[in-house]
Amino acid sequence: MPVYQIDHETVYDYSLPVLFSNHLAHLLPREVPRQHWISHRLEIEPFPAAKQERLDIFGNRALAFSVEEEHQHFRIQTSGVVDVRAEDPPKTSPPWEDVVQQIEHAHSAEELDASMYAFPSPFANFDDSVKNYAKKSFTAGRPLFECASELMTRIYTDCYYTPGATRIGAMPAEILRGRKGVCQDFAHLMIGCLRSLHLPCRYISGYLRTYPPKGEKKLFGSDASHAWVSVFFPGHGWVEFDPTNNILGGSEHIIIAWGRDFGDVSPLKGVITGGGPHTLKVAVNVDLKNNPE
Amino acid sequence: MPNLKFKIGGSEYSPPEGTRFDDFAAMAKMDSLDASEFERRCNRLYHVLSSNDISFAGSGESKRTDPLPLIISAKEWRGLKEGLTQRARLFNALAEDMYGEQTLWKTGKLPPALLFANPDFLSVAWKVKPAYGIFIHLMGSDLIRDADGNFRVTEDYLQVPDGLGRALENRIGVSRAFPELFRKLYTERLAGFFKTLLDCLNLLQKEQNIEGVVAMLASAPNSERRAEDAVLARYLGIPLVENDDLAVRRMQVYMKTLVGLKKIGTLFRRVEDTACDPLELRVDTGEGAVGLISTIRAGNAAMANFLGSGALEHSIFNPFLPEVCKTLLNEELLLPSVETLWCADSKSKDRIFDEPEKWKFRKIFGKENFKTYKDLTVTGKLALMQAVEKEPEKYVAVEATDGSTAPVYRNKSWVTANVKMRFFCVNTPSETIAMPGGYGTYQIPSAPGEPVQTGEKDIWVLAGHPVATFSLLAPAESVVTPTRAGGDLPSRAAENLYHLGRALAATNMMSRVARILAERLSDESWPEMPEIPWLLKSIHSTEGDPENALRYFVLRKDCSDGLQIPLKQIRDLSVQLRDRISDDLWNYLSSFGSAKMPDGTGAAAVIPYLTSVLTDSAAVSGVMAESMTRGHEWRFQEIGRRIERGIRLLRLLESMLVDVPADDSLKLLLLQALLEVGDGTMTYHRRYGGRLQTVPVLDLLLCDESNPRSVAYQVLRLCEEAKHLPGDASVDSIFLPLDRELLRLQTELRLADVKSLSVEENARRPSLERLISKSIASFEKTAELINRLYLNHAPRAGIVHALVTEV
Repeated sequence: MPVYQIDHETVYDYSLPVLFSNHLAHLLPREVPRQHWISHRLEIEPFPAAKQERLDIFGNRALAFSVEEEHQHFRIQTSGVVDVRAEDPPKTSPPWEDVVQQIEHAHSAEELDASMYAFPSPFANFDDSVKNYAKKSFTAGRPLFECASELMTRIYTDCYYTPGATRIGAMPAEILRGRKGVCQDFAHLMIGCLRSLHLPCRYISGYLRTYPPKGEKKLFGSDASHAWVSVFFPGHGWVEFDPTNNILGGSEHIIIAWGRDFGDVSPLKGVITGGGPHTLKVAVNVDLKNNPE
Repeated sequence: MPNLKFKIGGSEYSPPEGTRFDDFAAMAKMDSLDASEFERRCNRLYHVLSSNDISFAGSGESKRTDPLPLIISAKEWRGLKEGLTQRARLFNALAEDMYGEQTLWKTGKLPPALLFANPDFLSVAWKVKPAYGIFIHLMGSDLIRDADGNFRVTEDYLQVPDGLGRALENRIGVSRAFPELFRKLYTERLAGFFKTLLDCLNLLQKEQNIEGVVAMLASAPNSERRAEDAVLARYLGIPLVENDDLAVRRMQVYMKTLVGLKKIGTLFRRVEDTACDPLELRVDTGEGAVGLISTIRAGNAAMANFLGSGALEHSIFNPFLPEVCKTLLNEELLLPSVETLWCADSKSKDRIFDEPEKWKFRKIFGKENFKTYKDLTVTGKLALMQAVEKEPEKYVAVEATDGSTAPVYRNKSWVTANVKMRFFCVNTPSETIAMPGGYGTYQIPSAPGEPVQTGEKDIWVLAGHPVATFSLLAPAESVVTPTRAGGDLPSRAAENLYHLGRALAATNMMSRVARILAERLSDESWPEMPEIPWLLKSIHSTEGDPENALRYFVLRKDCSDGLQIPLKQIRDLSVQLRDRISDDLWNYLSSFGSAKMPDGTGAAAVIPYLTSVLTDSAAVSGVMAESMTRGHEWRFQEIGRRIERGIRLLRLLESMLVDVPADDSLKLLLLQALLEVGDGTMTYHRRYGGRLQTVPVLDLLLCDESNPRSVAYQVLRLCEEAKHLPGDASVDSIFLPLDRELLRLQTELRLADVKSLSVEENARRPSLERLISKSIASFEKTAELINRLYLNHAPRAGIVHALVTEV
């Protein structure tokens, strides 16, 4: 099982002094069965005047904090070591309509929890265009796993990976029209499709192991955070799909948090008082520590 | 039922078939008033309402409250009270489950859509425990009587119920108009309810041992609700704060006051919960106090109503309430809602399609008005039913019913109107109380296409026995120590008062200049008056026809340095300051400069308008001088007023005296005009007789500290007020720049030699010009320092998402 060293640093430099800043971070990793964190720490500079860690409704470790001293430089850094394994996909899966039925009339805590991810959310709603796009893979009586895999492949094939093509929080219908975007958009589009059929699915925020171009050495900090999707299979659990890379989530996907869409798990957001124009630097590094056979 | 007929105020009323007798208990007693006496009482009511009218400022439309209250008999109230308080307990229990264990959902009693498709379900409030487990402190419910005379609920307001302030005002108005009737009927008083509410708010912070004040987080100044918020805050005696008055430090919430931060223990919110914290709730509008959610979650401040209670306001919960009541309270639901169907249910859908005219429709979590099927056009009906057919799970149908009727006195006769009653309950740690009274509204049925006539009605609950009098004004258990201090003036209020002072002074100076200009222009020989271009220059008008230029300056809202700008500012500020100013002052300010605009053309026509503005101005100054205590409230408007007047006087002197005309008679005409604007003609003539000369005029308007309209006097007043500005003794040094600036200005003016100031060189007065521009700079510096030290709220740069997720 691969073990990774993960470093994630965010730095703000402001042109004018910031008097106060309040932040909400989803950078502390949640516990999930397929991951084990050997160590993890988080550093904030300047030192926050107040901090509050809490479990949000999705089970993530949200961290609210405020910096109340005047500053022009702000830095938040996490580093951790994590042991990751892949989970097997379900061998069989029920027809997708059965899952919809089961979720609509939730009768258990698990089903109720899943149903939370079946409704449109602020960044992942849908219209008829999205629904029609989804329907092509979701034909009557077809097993859910087959449908979802095909949908993932279609999104991967139909959309071009284009950094800078979209704004944060572009809606699924918009992404479908432009057919380009980054991992966040690919994930939102897939979520919009699944939700248009009332299927529960999550937006996962985390990291992905990347490889340098052939023959080149990997640059430190050249990785980025990643987003993908997981879909609920009653009786089996959640299965991860990565439409940006057309693969199932596995031992190279490291989970930090999940929610209905990006808005629930934005790695770091804040309200700044004072400040003026700023520059932002983000460096992420995912390094393999061992050499699994 | 006997054939009822009443004759009051010379007008008869026969109630429609099936009307209930209770409604007429009051009417029967009013029967003894003769026509003229009844009219007199109605006038008294309208007088009380308009002098304290909460709908006045926003809409310009006076609110109409009917003289005849709706009556609830003692017997009827006993049942109603049980039903209302049960409903308040029920919704509280439902909120507790929704934001806690969600057992109702886990056991399939409520569908998941009610939670997760509900846009008002606030996930940040999940598993957060409010003080004493109270989620819904104040509940409002709209009731109608159905055909059988039973009460049914049409809407519940669980987050920010409106109407409490209006009910209070209607009660004051109607009970003052008919005091003997009010007493004879043994009408229940409202004060006890407000005391319970206030006690509850005070108690909330005690649970977590928070020592702070109770403050009202008011709706935005331009919101319809704001005036009512001010009435409530005043009646409860709690400070009214806005978003920008709040500061969150180390997860404690404070109110910014002139003397520093003051801790808040309970926030009585009058804004939607999504407008509470831009970091965690509504990022798009940026409303709220950043970090407030963390503060509430940490239990460092209590909030009423608690976060998230709005999720239960939707009618979609109605069909489930009887079952939920049995499950959560183990009681039968006493006070049912009007029949409500969720179209997702196939049986319900069949009923709706069988008899669509019985129903009105709305999206399940919609906030827009219901669409009443029978009132729609043929195509509207078709479109609606198609939409319901396509996505039935998105629609809710509510029985369309007009409810019961009551007589309403309109245009000196009685007409029949449909009425609705809003009742209020408060959940306290120990009990649930219903307010014995309420906010009634009526609507007179109108023919299609005609405007709907609406109004308000007081609701009288009869006790059936003499009632104890009690007032919120003197809480018996608290001992009030006399104090001369002005309390804690929020910085925001200080800022508003400062701007009010500036706008008042601006208005006054502008109307004075405009009036003497108008007087000259109404003389047909005006083309021969050489001073007119100079006066026009002083109002920044350079070209075009002078009469049009003047009218543009006085009347047009789009004239950016015209008179209408500060006038509107005054009226707007009066709304924001409603909770801090007396009723008298409010009356003058809210209608300031709103006299009828002159018809016709020409300059003469604007004179009466300008005179009325100057009368308003004098009235306001008089009321302020006579009635405001000399605390910080007074101080900040005074500082604003003096700064504005100083600058405007200097600019006037600059435009009239710096350039020197060649013609001697024009010089005299300019001095004459200056004296008129500066209101100095009388003094001047008393001192110097009729000989107009530059030196004495300059002395009078610039340097004479005994003339209230001189620049020097403005500086004198500023220096006096600045001495009393709040400052921390230990950091006194930071306030030095203000004192220094004022001292510099004062010395400069005191040392000025008016003779040398009036010396001419190349058709200019250079030393006067220098002094004026230095003094203006000094006034502006003073204004900037006041702003920075006391008023300025550092701008918020906005919301940033740190990371674009890429790969």
